[in-house]
Amino acid sequence: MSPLRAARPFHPLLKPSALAFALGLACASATGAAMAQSAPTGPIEITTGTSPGGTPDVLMRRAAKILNEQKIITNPLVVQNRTGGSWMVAGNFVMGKKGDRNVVLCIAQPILTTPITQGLPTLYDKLTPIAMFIQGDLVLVVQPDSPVKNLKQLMELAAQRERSLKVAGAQAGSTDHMVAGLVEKAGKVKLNYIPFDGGGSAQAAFLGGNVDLMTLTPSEAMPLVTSGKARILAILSDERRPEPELKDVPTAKEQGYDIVWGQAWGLAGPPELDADTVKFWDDAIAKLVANPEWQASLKENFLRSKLIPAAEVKPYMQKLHEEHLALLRDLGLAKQPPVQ
Amino acid sequence: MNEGQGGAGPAGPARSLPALPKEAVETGMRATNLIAALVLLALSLGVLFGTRELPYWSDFAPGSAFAAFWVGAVGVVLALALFVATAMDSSHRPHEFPDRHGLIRVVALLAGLWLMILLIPHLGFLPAAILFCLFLLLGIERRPLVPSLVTTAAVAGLVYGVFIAWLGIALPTGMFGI
Amino acid sequence: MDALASLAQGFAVAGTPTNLLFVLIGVTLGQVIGALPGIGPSAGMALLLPVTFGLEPVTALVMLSGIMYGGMYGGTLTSVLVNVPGEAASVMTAVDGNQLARQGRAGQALAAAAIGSFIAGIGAVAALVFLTPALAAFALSFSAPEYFLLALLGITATASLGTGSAMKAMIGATLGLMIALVGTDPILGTPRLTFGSLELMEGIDFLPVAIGIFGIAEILVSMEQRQAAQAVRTQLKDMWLSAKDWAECRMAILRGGIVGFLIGLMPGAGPTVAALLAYVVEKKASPHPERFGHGALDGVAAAESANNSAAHGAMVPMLALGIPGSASTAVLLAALVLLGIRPGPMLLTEQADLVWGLIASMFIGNVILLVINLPLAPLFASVLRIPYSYLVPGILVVSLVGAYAISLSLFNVGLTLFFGMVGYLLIRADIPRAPLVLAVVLAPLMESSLRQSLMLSEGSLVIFVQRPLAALLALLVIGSLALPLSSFLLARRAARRAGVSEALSHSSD
Repeated sequence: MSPLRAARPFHPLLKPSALAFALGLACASATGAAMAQSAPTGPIEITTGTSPGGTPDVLMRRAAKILNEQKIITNPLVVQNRTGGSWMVAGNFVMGKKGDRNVVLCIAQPILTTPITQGLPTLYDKLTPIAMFIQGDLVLVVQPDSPVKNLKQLMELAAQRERSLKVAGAQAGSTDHMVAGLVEKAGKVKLNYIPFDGGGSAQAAFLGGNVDLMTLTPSEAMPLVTSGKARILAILSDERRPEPELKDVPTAKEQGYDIVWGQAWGLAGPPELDADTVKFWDDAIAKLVANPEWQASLKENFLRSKLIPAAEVKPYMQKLHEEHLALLRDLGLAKQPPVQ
Repeated sequence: MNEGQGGAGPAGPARSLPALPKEAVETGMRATNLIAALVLLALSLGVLFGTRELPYWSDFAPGSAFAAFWVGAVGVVLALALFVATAMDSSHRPHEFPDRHGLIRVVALLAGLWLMILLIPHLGFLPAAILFCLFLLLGIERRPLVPSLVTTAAVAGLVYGVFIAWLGIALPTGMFGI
Repeated sequence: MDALASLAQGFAVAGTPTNLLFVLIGVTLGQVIGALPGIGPSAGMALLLPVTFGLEPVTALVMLSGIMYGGMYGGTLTSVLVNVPGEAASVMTAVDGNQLARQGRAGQALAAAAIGSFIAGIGAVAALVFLTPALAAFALSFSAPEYFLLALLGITATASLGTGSAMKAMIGATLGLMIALVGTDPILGTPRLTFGSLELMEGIDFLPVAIGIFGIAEILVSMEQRQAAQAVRTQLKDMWLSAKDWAECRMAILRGGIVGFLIGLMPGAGPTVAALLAYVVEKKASPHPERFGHGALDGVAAAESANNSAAHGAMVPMLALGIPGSASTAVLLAALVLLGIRPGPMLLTEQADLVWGLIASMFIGNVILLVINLPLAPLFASVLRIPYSYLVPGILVVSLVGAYAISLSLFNVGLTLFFGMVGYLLIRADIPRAPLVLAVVLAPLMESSLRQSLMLSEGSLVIFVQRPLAALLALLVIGSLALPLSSFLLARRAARRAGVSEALSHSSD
C-alpha cells in the first residue's frame, strides 16, 4: 500500500498538448522529484448511477483502466455502481461527501434531467466541477425497407396522421425521448413515442419491425446498417463526422431541421472540494485526453474526447441544464423547479 | 430428525410445535385471518388513495393509475372475501402460534438486527456485524463462549475475505476504519 | 456441416491451456458468486471485470461467461441449504429445495439441480450451435403483446401456486403486485407510491424481497424455539439421487430446459422469469402437483434447468444481434466493448473465432460444473451438519452484506429486513410466498408490455390476436383459465347428478 499512499507528484509543465510519447517518460521522471503539491491518498471511488454495463459505467471503467495503467493516477481507481433514483442516489452520495478527496461522480445526463423531471433540487451547480471529456453523437435510423429517404420525407409522412409514426426508445425523459421531442418540434409533427425498459429492449422492438424510427448512437447503428437491418436518416451533430463510415451521413441541420443533440460525460467532485484536488484531476484528465490509447478506444465507438477543463465546466453545464430544461418543458415532463 | 432443523417433515419447523389448547387454536386462526384481511384492506385503500391523482388513461394506453386501480380493487375484493370466508368457516383447522418465549426470541432477534443497521454508519459494517453475532449467540441463544467466538470470527473472516478483500465492495467503515 | 466445422474450430480455440484454465476459473468464481446472496452473476461479472483487462478477448469472454452460467449452478446452493436465494433466478428453488433439505434430502435436491442444469445447459448450447440465426429471428418476433400475454399466463397461474387455499394464494399475489407498483412509472415517468423517497424511485429491487421473505423470514420462524444443538443427521450415502428420483426429474428437466431456453432467448425476459414460468408449467404438468411447495424434487429440477438454459439462451440475441437478453449479457457486451470489439449482427462472421470459442467453452464449462457439483453435492449438503444456531448468524450477516452490495446502500439492507418481517407475518398468516415473488417479477413486465402494446396498436386490442405468436399465447391464456373452470363445473354437475352433496361442499371449499 505504501507506494499508493505516497503523494502523487505532477509535472507542472506538462501541457495537455504534450503527446503520449513524452507522457510515460515525464511521469516516470516526475515520481522521484516530488512536488509540494498535495494529491489525494488512497483509493479513489468513481461513483456511477448505472448498473454495470451501462455506457457511463463502461466509459468510466475504461478511463480508470487507462489512468491507472499509464500511471497518470497511481491511486487505485474503483468504479462503484450506486444505482437507484435515476442517478440521484449516486448524486446524493457524492453530495454528502463534502470536501472528500477520495470520491468523484461520473456526470451523465440524468444528473441534469432527473432533478428536472422529478422536481428535485439541482445537483450540477452544487458539485465541484472537474471536467467534461467524452462526447457522443446520435443518429436517427429507420427500417431498411422504409419509403422514407430523408428527414423531409419523414416529416411529411408523420404529418399525414398525428401519432401514426412509431418511435421506440428508453424510459420517459431519456435521451431518446428528448430527441423524439426535438423531431416533433422541428417538424411540427406528433410522433407516437413508445418507451421500453431500456436501450436493448427498444432495439429489439425496432429490429422486430414493430416501430418505424429510433435514436441510436453511431456505434450501435453501424453494425445494424452494415448488416442491412437499419438505415440512417441523419446525424444529430453540428457537423458531419469525419470517419469514412459516417462521412456520407448528412446532419439534420443540412436537411433544414434544427435538431442538434448529443451526449456528454465527465467527472465532478463533491461540494467544497479543495483546489489542489481539482487541479490533480484536471491535470490527470488532460493527460488522459491526450493519451492515444484512450483516443483510439473512443474512436472505435465513434465517441469524441474533447476536454472541457474545470474552469470552463460551470458555464458549459449551465448551458446544458437550460437546454434540457427547455426541452423537457416542451415535452411536458418538467416539474416546476423547487424554490431553492 | 430433530427439532433443531425443524426437520419434522414437509411443513417446516412450525408444525413441530406442541399443540395448543383447541379453543385457543380456533380463535387464533380466525384472528389471524381477520387481521390479514384488515391489513390487506388498508394496503389496498392506501394504493387507491396514493395513486388517486395519477392519470388512469393516457392517449392510446392505460396511464400510471390503471394498474394501481385494479390491484387496489382486487385487494379490496379479496380482503372482503377473506372476511366473509373467515366468518363462515366452521372447520377446525389447527394453527400454530409461538408461545411467549418464542415471541420474545423473535422480537429480540429483530431488535438486534435493526440495532445493527443503526450502528453500521457509526461503527462500520464489520464491527456492527460482529457485535450482532455475539449478541445473537451469547445473548439470545446462550451458547457456550468458545464456539460462539469461533463462529463470530468465522463470519467476520468470511465477510472480510470474500466481500471486502476479494470483491472489493465498499462496505461502510466507521470509527475503527474497517 | 458448416456449424460442426465452426464448432471444431471453436474447440481448438477454447481448448488451449490458457483458455481451459480461464474457463475453470470463471465457472468456479461463478459458483461462489452465485452462492453469495445479493451478488448475482451480473454484479459478480462487473466486479471482476478489471481482472480481465490485459487478457485476450476470447480468454476474457470465456471467463466472464463462465461466471454467468456458473452463477446459475451456485445460486442453487444457498437456496437449498439455507433458503436464501443466492441469485434472483434461484428463488423458486428456495421454495421447494429448502423443504427437501429439511427432510434431509438436500443432497438429492442439489444433485437434481446440477444434473438438470447440466442437461439443459448442454442442450441450450447445442441449440446455439445449429440454430442461432433462426432463434434470433424467433426472439425478435416476440414483442410487447407477446410479453404481456406471457406474463398474464404466469400471473393467472398464481391461484394454483399456493399450498393451501386459492384465496390466500391470490392475496399473496396481490401483495406482490402492490410491491411492484412502487417506483417511477416507466412509461410516463411519474412517481408512483414512492412517498417522496429517492431510494424508491426506481422501484423495490427484487433481491431484498426475495432474501427477506425467504431467508430472513425462515430464520425468524426458526427462532420461535430454542434450537437443539445438533443438526440434521444424515449420512453421505443417503444423499445420492436414486433411480426413482431420477425418473421423477427427467421430464421436469426436459420441460424446464425448453421453457427456460425459449424465454431466455427473449430480450425482455431473463432467467428469473424463465425459472418462475418453468416452475408454473411443471406444477401443471406434474403427476403430483400437491407436492409443490412441500419439497417437490421435480419443481427444483425444472426451475434450475430453466434458469441455466435461459442464461445460455440469452446468448442468442447477444451474439446474433448485439442485444443484451439479460443483465449478465449486458455486462458481457460491455466487456466486449472494453476489449475493443464492437458487438452487433456482424459479430458471428467478423469474430468467428471468438464466438465459436465462446460457444465451445460453454460445453467445457458445463462439464466442469457438473464435475464440481455432482460429487460435491453431498459434501455441500453436509454444511447442514453444523448446528443450526451456529449457522444463523452467518446466514443473516452474509444476507445483509449481500443486500448492501446490490446498490451499495443501507436502504436495501433495511428493506431486506423489512421484507423479512413481512415474510414472517405471511408464514404466520398462512399466505403462500411463491405467488408473491412471481407477481413481483411478472407485474412490471405485464404492466409495461400492456401499455406498450396498446401504444403500438394505437389503442386497438386486436394486436393481441393479430400476430400469430400472440394469438397462440392468447389461446393458451384462455385455455389455462377455462380448463380448471370447466373441469370444476363438470365435476360439480357430475356430483349433483350423483346427488352426492359431500362432493359439492368439498369442491367449493
